[in-house]
Amino acid sequence: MTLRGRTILYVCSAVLAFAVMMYGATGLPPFGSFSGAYTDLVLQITTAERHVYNVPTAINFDIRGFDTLGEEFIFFTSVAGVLFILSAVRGKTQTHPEPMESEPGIVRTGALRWFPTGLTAFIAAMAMDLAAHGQLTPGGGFQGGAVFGSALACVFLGVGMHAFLQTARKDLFDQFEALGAFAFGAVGVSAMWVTGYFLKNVLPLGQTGATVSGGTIYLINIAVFIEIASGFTVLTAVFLNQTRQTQELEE
Amino acid sequence: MSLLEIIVYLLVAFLGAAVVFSKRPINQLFVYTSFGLALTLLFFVLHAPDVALSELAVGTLALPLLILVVLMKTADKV
Repeated sequence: MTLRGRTILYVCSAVLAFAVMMYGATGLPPFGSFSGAYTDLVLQITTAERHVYNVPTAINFDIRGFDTLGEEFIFFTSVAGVLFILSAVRGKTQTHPEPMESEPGIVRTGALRWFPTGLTAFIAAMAMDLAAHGQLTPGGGFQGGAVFGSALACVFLGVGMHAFLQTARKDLFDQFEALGAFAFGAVGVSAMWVTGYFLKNVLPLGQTGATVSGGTIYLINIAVFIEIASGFTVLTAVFLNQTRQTQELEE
Repeated sequence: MSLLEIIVYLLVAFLGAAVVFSKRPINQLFVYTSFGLALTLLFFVLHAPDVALSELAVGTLALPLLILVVLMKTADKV
């Protein structure tokens, strides 16, 4: 097809697609309005029956807890898959790498060294704060866990690969990840054992607004934080280890 | 729609287009990270702080890191 033909085809289909999209957009309800009963119901029961302020957390870890369990295991399986493939590439997984005296091509000035290193503790604290108040303020296990992963990446930025791989110990965080995934399932099964319903919120709900409240929501929140934080750490470690391997091969 | 929302929407549209029109993958990565930040702002402005936090972690940390590692590994071959 000639350039002219392609241009004509593109302009025609672009105009058509734009017209259809605009026609669809004019019929949309205004932002934030939803006529289903689910929203009102969830907003009513979150604080009244679960003693939780943050509605997304209540939905994720209680009202639709079973869905989240599935998502957790998707994450768990993905991390396991990545580890499996990347260690197959490598032949064997090395958990304690030999120290590299100097990393080629990387010169760190004082600011470049101390700024990320100082941020590490700050970001890690922020991650735990996000996770610990998941039922009260925006955030929760997933967000806190992902932020925690970035805290350890700061060690890599500030100090270097060797220090990072010593901090983000794969053998250690592997076990924490499995522990987090197990804890989520264990909460669900224990609830089923006691009441006959999987993931039913059996624990005392506590006072609304208290640091520890929401019953099983709080436990699951912490379990998810442990799993996601460890999972992200393991992933970061494995991926960065791959770049190191490339450098070694080239030398 | 408030002025703030309009500004953030325009920012998202501009950076989204910039991601598409970036030629070199390494530049595209950094433009994408800015796009992720703009999306974070948008979610925050639209009263979805939980989604904003997730987008912040995934869009500005996990995905750029992944792509950066891939670019480092394939640097000679591209």
